[in-house]
Amino acid sequence: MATSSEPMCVDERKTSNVTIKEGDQAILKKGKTVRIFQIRKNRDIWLDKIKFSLDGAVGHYYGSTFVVKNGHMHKVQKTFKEAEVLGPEKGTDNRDLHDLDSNQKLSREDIEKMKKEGAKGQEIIEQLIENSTTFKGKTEYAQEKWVKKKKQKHVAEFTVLKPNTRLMCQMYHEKSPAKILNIRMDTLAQILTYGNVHAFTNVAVVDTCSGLVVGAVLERLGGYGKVFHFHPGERPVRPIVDNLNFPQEFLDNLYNFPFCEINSLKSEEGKSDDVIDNSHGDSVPSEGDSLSDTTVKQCTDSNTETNTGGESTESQDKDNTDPVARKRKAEMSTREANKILYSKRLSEAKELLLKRNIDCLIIASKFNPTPLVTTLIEYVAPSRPIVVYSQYKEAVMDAYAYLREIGCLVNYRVSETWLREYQILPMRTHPEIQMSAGGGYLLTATTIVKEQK
Amino acid sequence: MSLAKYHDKVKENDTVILYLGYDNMHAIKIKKGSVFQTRYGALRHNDIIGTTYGSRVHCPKGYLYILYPTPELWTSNLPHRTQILYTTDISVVSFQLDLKPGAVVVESGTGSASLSHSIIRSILPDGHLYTFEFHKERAQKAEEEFKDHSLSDYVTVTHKDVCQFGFDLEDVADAVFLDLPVPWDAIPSAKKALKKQGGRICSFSPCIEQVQKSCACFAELGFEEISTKECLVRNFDVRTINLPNPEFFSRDKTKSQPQKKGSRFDRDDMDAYSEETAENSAQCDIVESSDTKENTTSEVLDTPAWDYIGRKTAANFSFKAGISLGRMPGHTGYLTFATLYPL
Repeated sequence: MATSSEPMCVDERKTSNVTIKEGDQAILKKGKTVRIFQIRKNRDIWLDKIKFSLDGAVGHYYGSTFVVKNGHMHKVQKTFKEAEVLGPEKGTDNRDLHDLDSNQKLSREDIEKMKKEGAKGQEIIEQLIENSTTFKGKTEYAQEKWVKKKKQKHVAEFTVLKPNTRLMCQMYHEKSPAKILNIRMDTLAQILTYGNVHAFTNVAVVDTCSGLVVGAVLERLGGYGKVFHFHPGERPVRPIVDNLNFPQEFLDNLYNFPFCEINSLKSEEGKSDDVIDNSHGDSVPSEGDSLSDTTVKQCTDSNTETNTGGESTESQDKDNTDPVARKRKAEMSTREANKILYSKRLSEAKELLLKRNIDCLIIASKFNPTPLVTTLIEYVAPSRPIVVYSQYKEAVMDAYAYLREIGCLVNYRVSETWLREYQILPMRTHPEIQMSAGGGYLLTATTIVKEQK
Repeated sequence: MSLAKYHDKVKENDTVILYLGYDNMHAIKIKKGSVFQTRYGALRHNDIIGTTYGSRVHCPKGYLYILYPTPELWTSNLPHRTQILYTTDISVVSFQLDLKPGAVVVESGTGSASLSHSIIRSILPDGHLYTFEFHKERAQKAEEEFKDHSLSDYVTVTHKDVCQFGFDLEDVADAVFLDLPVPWDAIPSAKKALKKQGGRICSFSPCIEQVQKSCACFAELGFEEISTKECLVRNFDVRTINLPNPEFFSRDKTKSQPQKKGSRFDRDDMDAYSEETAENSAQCDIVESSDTKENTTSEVLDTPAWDYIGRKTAANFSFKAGISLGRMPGHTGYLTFATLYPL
C-alpha cells in the first residue's frame, strides 16, 4: 500500500530559526496592522500609540502572542473568543436601537484608568458590555461584531512573526503599494510559479519594487541557484531583502547588475575569453570566495586593519600615530577594498550571464519593459519561461508585440488575476465589502532556440 | 529527465511538451521507434532524441517546438483522472503556504497530481511531500508519474482514506493542503500533523457550504487568521483594432466603391478586428468622401498629443487592444487558509 521513500531530515539551522532572537527582523501583527521592527535590547518602539521595548519577545517561538504592560512585552495565551463574553440576553433586530454616544456609560478616562491598573483585555470588554445600555438589545451577530470591534480598539495584544515574502507583500500592499508597484500577492504568486522559480535555477530579475521580487525569488531558491538583480542607479534599493533576513549563503548568490553596465555586457559578447576586465581598479588577489554586498557593508562599518587595498596605503605607515590620519587611511582602504570587490562581483556576473543559461527572466519595474526584455532575453537559455509584470496593460502589450516581431518566444499569454476575499460566518457569509481593484498585468512566454538565419 | 532540474537535450524516457500553436500542446513520453501523429503529420520520436529543448522540429506539413516540461506545462497537458487544480490556484496555494526548499507538506487527495508536481518543485531538494489518495489506481498512477519525472526522492504516496483513518503523522509538516469533499473530517488529524512550532493549512472546496463548515472547524480547533479567498484569471487577446468612423453623408450610388483589403467599412462591429500585426497597419485607408477635393483620408489627423492613444485617419481609429471575449473561468473553488501558532 504505502510506498517507502525516506523523508529528508530538516536542517538543524532551520529549526533554530523558529525562536525570536536579538538582532532579528520581526513582524508585529495586531489585527490587520502589520509592522516590522528590528529586535534590539533596551530599545523602545511605537506600535498603535503604545511605547514599549521588544526584549520580552526574545527566546519565545515566533507566532507567540504578547500583551504590553508598563512598556514591556509579556507572553500570553491566545486572546478570548467573542462568544465567551456574550451573555444569554439578545435582541431580534435594531428597530428600537438608537446610535448615541450616551449609550456607553464608561468614559475614555475610565477605560484608560482600567488599562493602567492592569485590567485584562477580557475584563475591559466585560465592563464595556455592562455599561452599555444597548448591548442586550442587539442581535447575537451584532453583539459579536461589537465585541470584535472593541477588542481591536482596547486589547493591546499582538503576535510576533518571522518575516517572509507573504507577510512582506501583505504589509507593503496595505501600507505603501506604490513602493512595490502595486504588485498584489496573487500576482506575485503567479510570477514565481510561471517563472518556475525553484532550487538550482538561475534567475535574472529586473526589480524596482523595493526588492520584493528579488526577495521572493531568493526565498524560493533556498540558497541553491543564482539571482541577478538588474537595477537602475549605482546601488540597488531593496529594503525588503534586508527585512527578510536571509542567511549569508543566500546573499552570496545574489549579484547586482546596474543598468549602466548592460551595454558593456552586450559589447563583451564574442569576447567570452577575456571577460574578466582588469581595467577597473587594481588587480589584487582576493581572499577566498566572493563576498556579497552585505559583507561589503560590514567591511565599511568594522574594517580598520585588514584590507586588500593597494600598496599605496601601506606606505603611509608612518602616519600611524595620528588618529585622524589613521581613520582617513582606514576609510580610504575600505573604499579601495569595496571598489575592487564591486568590480570583481560585476565581472563574475558578466561572465555568468554570458554563458546564456539563465533559467528565468522576470521583469517587474517602473521602466518600459520592452527594451529590458528584448535586451535581456539574449541571456536566457532556450525552453525557459519569461515573465513581464507591469501595472499597465499597455506596457505589457507593447512588450508582447515586440517579442512577437522578433520571434524568439512561444506560448504567449497576457493576463491579469482577480482576487476576492470572503467573510465566512454562519448566516453571515458574503464576499468582503471592499476588494482590490487591480493587481497588475503579466506577460508570460517560453523561449525557443533561435533560428540561425 | 527530471521536473526537478533542467537539462539540455531530449533523452529516451523523457516526458516532453510538444508545442504546436496557441492552445495546442501535447505531453508525450519519448520511446525509441514510436511515432506521434500530429495535425502536421507524423512525428518520429527518434528524430527528437538528442535535440535541444526549445528546438523547432519539422513534420511533413509543418513544424512544432519541443519544450521542457515545467510543472505548469505538465498541469496544462497531463491526463486527467480527476478535476485538477490549475496554475492560477496552484500559484496562490504555493504562495500562501509559504512553500520553499526544505518545507514538509502533507496533501490529500492526490487526485491527478497536478498540484503535487508543483509542490514538489517548490520544496526540493531538502523538503518532502506526503500525499494521500483513497483511490488505489490513482495513487499508483501518481507514483508512476513521480518516478517517470525523477521526483520519487521528494515524495511519499500513501493509499489511504485520511478522513476515516487520519494521516498518522505528528509534528512533521510546515503546511497541509486539503482537497476533499468532507475536509472537516481530516482537519483534526491535519492539525496533529503540523509542527509544534506552527504552520499553515489550506482547504480547497468548490461549495460555500463546505467552506462554512471548514472555517467553523478551523476556529474550533484553534487555528487563526482564517481567510477565504477566490482567484480567477483573465486572459487577453492582443489585437489591432480598426474602428471605422461613421459617414454623416450619403454616398452617390452610381459611383463604384473600391473595396480595399482590410476595409471593414460595411461590416458589423463584430468583424472590426483585423489580422494581428505587430505594427499598426496602413492598410486601413478607405474610400474617399464624395465632396472634398483633396484626398486626405490617409493622413493622420491633427490631434492633441495627450489624446493620442491610437492612430486616427479620416476613415479609421486604429489601436492595439487587449481583449477578453466570450467566457472566462468564473469559479474553480474557494481557498481557505489558516495559521496554526505554537502554544
